[in-house]
Amino acid sequence: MAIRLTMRMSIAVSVLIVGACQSIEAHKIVETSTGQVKAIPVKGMPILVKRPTKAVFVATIRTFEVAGTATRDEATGRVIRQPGRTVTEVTITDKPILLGPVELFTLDLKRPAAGKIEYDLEFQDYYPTKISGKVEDKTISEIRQFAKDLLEKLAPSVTKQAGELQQKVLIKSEVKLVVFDLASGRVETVSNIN
Amino acid sequence: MRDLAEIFERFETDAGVVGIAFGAKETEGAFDPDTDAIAFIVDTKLPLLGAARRLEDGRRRIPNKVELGNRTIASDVVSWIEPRGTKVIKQSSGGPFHAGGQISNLSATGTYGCLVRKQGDQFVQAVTNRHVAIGANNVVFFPNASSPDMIEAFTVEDVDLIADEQFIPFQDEPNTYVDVDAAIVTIPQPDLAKFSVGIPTIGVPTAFHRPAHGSLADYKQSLVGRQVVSWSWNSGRREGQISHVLYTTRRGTGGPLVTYSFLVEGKDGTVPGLARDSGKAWTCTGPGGEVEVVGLHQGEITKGPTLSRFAVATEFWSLSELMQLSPYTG
Repeated sequence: MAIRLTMRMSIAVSVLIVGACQSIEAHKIVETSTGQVKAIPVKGMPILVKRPTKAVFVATIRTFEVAGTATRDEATGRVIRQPGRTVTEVTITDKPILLGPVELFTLDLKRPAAGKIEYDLEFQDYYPTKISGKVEDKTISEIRQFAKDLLEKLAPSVTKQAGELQQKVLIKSEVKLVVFDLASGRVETVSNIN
Repeated sequence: MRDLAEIFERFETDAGVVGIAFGAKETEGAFDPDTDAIAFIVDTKLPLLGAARRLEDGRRRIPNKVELGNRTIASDVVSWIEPRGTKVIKQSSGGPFHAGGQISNLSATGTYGCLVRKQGDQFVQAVTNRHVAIGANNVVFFPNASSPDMIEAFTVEDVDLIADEQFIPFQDEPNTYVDVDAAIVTIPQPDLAKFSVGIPTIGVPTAFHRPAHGSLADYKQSLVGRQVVSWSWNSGRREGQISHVLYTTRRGTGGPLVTYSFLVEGKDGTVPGLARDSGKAWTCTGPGGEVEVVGLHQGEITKGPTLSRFAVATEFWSLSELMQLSPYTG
């Protein structure tokens, strides 16, 4: 923590240099024991990063009662009912709420020898706070699918038959928070919201 | 013959057309039965801009005339929104088991138009929309599942989209379908005595009105301008006239072109139908004064909560040929 604080204080006056090389270089300004100010090159770019440790999804689980198909009594025309069944549908938020501490890192973003860097940066004060890229998007997508798969396994589901017209009535609707621990790769908790 | 659908495709995007139909030209709020027109149905009519090549909002202007096959026909821009004020009169039913009464599935309710016989089936059937009676082999209820007098009934057969040439042989376009949206529901024999074949304020339908099927022009001539009346437990008696035939719209981007048999314009500023009227019968008067069923109400041209001038309906004689139905008069 002490190191991080020092770096955060000093890099406030740092200079970013993007040279002909393929790395971005920053300078950390430090005060020596004799009171002199000295610039120490730091490989990479300082960045404040919200380091998510948990991803929280909001899921809605709806249970429907599906009427069974029927047949007709050919003597009277009356309905002969077939047993009904229940169907569960799970919907889950597209983007999770990411929880975790904000930390300072230096990132050594390699520039391609040709072409452009495909990162978007957002700044807060002097520091970039967000780098968005394809890798992060894919990770979130995979986590979301994981959470959805999990919820669908928790609740019974019936696959609809092609071409079947169903009469269904909503009999139960639950909203749940799914907390996904990113370090362990496991669902930490599934809690109800009433 | 170049189909209405092709003309619709040409104008639907850049001129804001929501549908296109064949009918009589509307002049100063009234339809002229002697002048054929291709009606471009739009949300609202907009003033022209500049040299009159574009509309006020920049969209393309509809030309005054269009080619339909080897004919040049006047065009008409018709707003589907009721412009003259609306009178919405709800009427209570006189009883649950008469034609025009209520029929429901587990989550929605509608109307059944009339009672019929189906060739080869020993039971009397009620005709309604498929979107009310759902598909074949489902259970529906007269009047609804929670009524103390409820009767459970069985949906025998349903028709959804069908290739246009199977419904109206003079139209045969690729990837074009008629939205028939019809179903028949068996009236259980022990309960048949509870049902009345008469439609309140209208009478007992004894025939299905047969339009001319020789060509689109003949079809239009035999239907457009005809005075029609309906009754449902939900909205009571509604009068109007058939204003256009073959209202064409698109179901989903790139999907098939969908045609409805005809449009009914409400009379004297009334809307021709309300939600839950689905499945009611549009009737007309035959040459001998008899009640003829001419259409099966499907709904209205709607967009949000705005009330519509036009109902869409399935032409009943073609439906009866397709499903082999005949009137049941008790």
